[in-house]
Amino acid sequence: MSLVCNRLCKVLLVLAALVGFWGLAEDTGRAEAAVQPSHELNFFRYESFTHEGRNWLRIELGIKGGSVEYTTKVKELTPKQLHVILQDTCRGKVKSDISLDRKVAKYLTLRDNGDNSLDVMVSLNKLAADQAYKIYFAEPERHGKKPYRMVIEIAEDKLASEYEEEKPKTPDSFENLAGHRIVLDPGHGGSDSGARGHGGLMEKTATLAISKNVAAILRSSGAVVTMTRDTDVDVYGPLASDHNELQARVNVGNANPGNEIFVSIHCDAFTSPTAHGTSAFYYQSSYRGRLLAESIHQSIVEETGLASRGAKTARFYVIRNSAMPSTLIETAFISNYQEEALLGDPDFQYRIAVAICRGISQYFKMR
Amino acid sequence: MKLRNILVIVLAVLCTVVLAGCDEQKKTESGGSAAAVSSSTASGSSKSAGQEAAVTDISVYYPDVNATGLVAVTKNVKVKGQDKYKAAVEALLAGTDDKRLTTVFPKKTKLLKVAVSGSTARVDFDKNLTAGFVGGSTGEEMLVGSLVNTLTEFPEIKKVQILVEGKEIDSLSGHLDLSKPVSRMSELIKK
Repeated sequence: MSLVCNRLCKVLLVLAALVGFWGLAEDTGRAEAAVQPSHELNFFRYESFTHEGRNWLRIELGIKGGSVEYTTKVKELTPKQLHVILQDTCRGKVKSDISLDRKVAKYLTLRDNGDNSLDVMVSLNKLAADQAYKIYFAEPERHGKKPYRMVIEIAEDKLASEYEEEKPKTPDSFENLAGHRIVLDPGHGGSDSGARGHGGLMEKTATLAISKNVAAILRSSGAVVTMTRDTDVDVYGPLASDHNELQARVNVGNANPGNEIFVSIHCDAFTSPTAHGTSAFYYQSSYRGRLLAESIHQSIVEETGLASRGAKTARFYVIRNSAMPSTLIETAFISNYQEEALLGDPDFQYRIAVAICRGISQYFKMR
Repeated sequence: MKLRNILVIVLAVLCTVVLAGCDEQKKTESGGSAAAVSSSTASGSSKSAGQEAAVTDISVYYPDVNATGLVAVTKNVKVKGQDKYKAAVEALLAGTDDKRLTTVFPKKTKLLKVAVSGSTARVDFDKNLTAGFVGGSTGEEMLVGSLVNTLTEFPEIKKVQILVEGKEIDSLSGHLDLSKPVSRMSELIKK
C-alpha cells in the first residue's frame, strides 16, 4: 500500500511542478507589462531672462501626479550635457526633441528609459561644470494656466562665488566627531556569509563595504574607530558557535572602556521578496541607544529615500551585551530585488555610509 | 487558460489528499502522531482509535508578506489527548492560504517534539530549521515571534525555548539570543 502510495505521490508531484512552472512563466510576463509610471509630463515651455546682468534660461516641465524624485548626472564622455533623471515618470505627449535659446543651451531631449524613469537631457553651450543651474518645483498657476511644474534654471556661466559654494560640500567629514571613540561591527563574515540575495549578493560583502566607508568618513572627521573586522573573516574563528562569534564582537567593543558607541551594520532578509525598507534597533532599557538608533535611522531615511520601518527595540545579542549605547542597523533588504541592487552598488554603499556618519554626528551633538 | 487553472487545482487537491494519506499512515505505523490539522485528515485516521479526538480552535500567528508584523489566524485543529501544543506548532509550519500572510519557517522544517516543564515549552525541531533559514533580523524576529506568540496563546505557557535535534541553540542566524527561553513578543502583533 505504502509503496503504491509513494509512486503515485511522485508522479503527481512532477505533474504539479510542470503545470506550476507553466503558470508562473505566463503570470510574470503579464505583471511586467502592466506597470505604468505614476507621473507623466503634461506641459513644456522655456524662456530667456536676465538676472543681475547674466543671461538665464528657464525650462518648465509640467508634471501630472505631483512631486517626483530626481537625480542629476553629467557623463564623463559628454561633459556639456546635463541630465536630469525623473523617477517613475514618462514623457507623455510632450515632443521628444526641442530646440532652445542657443545663448545658454542648444537643445533638449526627452527619453523614456526602460526602468520607468525619464531622462531630460539639456545640451549646454559650455561644460556643465561651468554653468550654474538650479532645479525646483513650482505650484500650479491658475491665471498663467500652468500645472504643477519642475523648473530648471540655467545660467550662461558660473561665478567665482558659485564655484566656491560647491567646494566645502565634500561629504566625507562631519562635525562633532573629533576625538570620539566609535566601534563598528560589519555583520557576519568569513565562514558566515549572512543572508543571501536572489542575485547572489552576500550580506557579509555589503556590510563590510558600507562599514569601511563609514570608518573612512569617521576617521577623516577625527573620530577614533575600532572595527570588529575589516576583512572577510570570522571575528572569533571559522565555524564557531553563534554565541562565541557574537560575544567576540561584543568583546572588541568592551575591551576599551573609552569606547563610546557600538554600531552594528547588517542587511535584512525575509522569506517573501516584497518585504523592504530600513530599520534600526536598540536595546529597550538604553535611552542613549535609542537616541543613537533614531538619529542614524532618520538620517538614512532622509539621505537614501529607503522606506522607514522605524527605530525599534529588539533583543539582539550584540546590542544587549555591549557596555555602551549601541544600535544594530538593518540597512535594507537583501532579499528584495531592488534593494539588493542598491546594496551591491558602490555609489549607494557610499551614500548610506554618509547617512550613517551624519546620524552619528547628530547623536554626539544632542548628547 | 481555464483548463490549466482547473488542472492545477485538481492536481493540488489530489496531491494534498494523497500526501496527507501517506503522512498519516507513516505516523500511525510508528505510533507517533497524536495530532493532525483537520484540513489534512484522510484515510488513515479511522485506524487510530483508542483516544477520542477533540476539535478545538487555536490562534496561530503568521507574518504578513511585508514582514511588518504578526497576524493571528484561527485554525480548527483535531487534538487527541494532551498534544494541543504540537498541533499548534504543526499548524504554524503548515502555513496559511491567506495571500497577505506568509510563513518564515524553512519549508523542510519538521517538528520533533514539544515538552512542557513548568510554564516553559521546549520545542524541538530537526536541523532544517537552522540549515534552511534565510536570515535577517526581521526574518528571525518573525520566526521566533510567530512560534512564541502561538504557544503563549495557551495561558499556561509563558516562555518558549527553541531546540534543534534535542540541543539548545544560541541563535538562528546571529541576531536574537535564543540560549534562554523567550517570552511573548506582543510588540510584533499587528493591531
